[in-house]
Amino acid sequence: MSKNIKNTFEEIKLNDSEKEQLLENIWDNKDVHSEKNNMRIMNNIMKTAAAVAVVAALGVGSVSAYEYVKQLLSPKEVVSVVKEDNELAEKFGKSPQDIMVQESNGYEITYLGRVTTDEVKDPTFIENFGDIMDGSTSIVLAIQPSKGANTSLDGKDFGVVPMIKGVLPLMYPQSWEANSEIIDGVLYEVITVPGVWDIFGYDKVYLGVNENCDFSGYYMENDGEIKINEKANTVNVLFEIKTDKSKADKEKAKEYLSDYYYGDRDPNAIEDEPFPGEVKGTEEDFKTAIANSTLLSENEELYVDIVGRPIYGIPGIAQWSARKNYMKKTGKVDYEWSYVLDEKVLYIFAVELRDGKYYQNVYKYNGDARQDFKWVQDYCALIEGYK
Amino acid sequence: MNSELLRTDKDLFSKIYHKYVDTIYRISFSFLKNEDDAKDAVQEVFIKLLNSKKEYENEEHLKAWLIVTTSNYCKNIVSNWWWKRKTIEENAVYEKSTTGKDEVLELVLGLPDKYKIPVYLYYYEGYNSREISRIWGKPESTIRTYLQKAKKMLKEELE
Repeated sequence: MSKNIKNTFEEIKLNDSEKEQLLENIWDNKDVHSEKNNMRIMNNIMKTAAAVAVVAALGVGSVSAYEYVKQLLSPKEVVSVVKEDNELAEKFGKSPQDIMVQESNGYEITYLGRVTTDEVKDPTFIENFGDIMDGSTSIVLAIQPSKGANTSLDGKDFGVVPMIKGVLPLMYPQSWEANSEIIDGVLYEVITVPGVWDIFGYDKVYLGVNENCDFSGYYMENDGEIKINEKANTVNVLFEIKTDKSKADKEKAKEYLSDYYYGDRDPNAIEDEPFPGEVKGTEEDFKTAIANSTLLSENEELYVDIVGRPIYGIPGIAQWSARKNYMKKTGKVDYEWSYVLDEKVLYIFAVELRDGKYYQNVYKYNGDARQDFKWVQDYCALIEGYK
Repeated sequence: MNSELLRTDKDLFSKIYHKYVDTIYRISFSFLKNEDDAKDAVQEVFIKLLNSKKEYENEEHLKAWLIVTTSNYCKNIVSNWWWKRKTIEENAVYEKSTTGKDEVLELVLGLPDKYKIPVYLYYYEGYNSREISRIWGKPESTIRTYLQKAKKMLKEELE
């Protein structure tokens, strides 16, 4: 089958003359396209003027309509103008919203609210995310340079990282869709994520907002709290989202997270080791490395998340799920590792299951891991390609 | 590598363009299912590149940006209401013209959008799931799930 699919893609291509024509179009239109963007902004300003009229009609109290708009559009207006979804806009208009503002590295990020719906009508959204979670949550954000800061929205890309307490950021669905526009110097985003967040309301629900949707901007403490990784030197904020506690459903949440992580794999099967394409040393390699390492911590009891995954590692540096089935079925130690490229440090984690609990010893390799171990060299080569 | 440099050096831009135009076209075609829209997508993505003002660490970083930008652009197009209306009739013409000609192509184009990028990168470009995860910015477990499901769908249809 692989050959068939490859051959199929091989046949999808432009001929030489089509390629050259496109190249000329692109080169001739690169500046004209910039003008088109300016026209879009002008149209948005016209829409803003319309929004002023709408706000005036709604009556916003002591603040004049123009002042209100100059500050920020309401979430209802944002959804109407940016996403052109009047039904969703009405829902925002009817829901009271918590507005939260945070600042980071010269940018002010305002959370303007969210609407959650059990029903998803957009077939593309259902197709893309429908089997991860039922329903969807739409969030409205406003991002602008902080007053007095010498920053700009040009070339900036902001994304969201939805997270819940007690689950590593990467183990929670990170797929989302966004509509965004810059209106009057403010970047407005309407972001839709799969899922009805309120089922996770048995504990904290967070929304990270940062540049380029970078998961490494956040980590989980050993008690499950999500924190900002200060080492990620980027625009990065964390909002704690209020949920409807009456809809919290821990069993449903556990089922969703398990389905998301395991997919079609058997959750009770011994974990693949290594994963196809993964780089990892052998048990002997790790024992050799440990013999020339400093013990950083011993018999540290591991946090076990709602899906039953023991989380090894060092918060803020490296964390992942240890191979619980491997330990249960073989009685052996699960060796895991993390190489921090910038610091040239190899950490080794020896995880054990004892009396129903998981414990780790953490080691720091004393030698030059990249020189001494081929699997570290291979890993570095892979990472440096994407750093 | 700097996109400002690309805007002023046509030879450099042409080199980058020829290196990646087939990749961008194939990804666009798999989402949009017709040549004209896929060509428009190629044009838009490369114009975005020239206007992006980004710094690229290396060419792999640039390639990852191109792939993600293409995916996002195509998904925005597909979800646009006027495109949906326009393609109801045009897709019928497309389906009529390709039915029976290439079974595998039809199956690949018929996959859910979320599977198309990983299927293309895995089967055609030869990336593994971890590499796809880094290019596309989705967790590796998601990529593996998508590939497993896509493989199952394609296998069932091809058998």
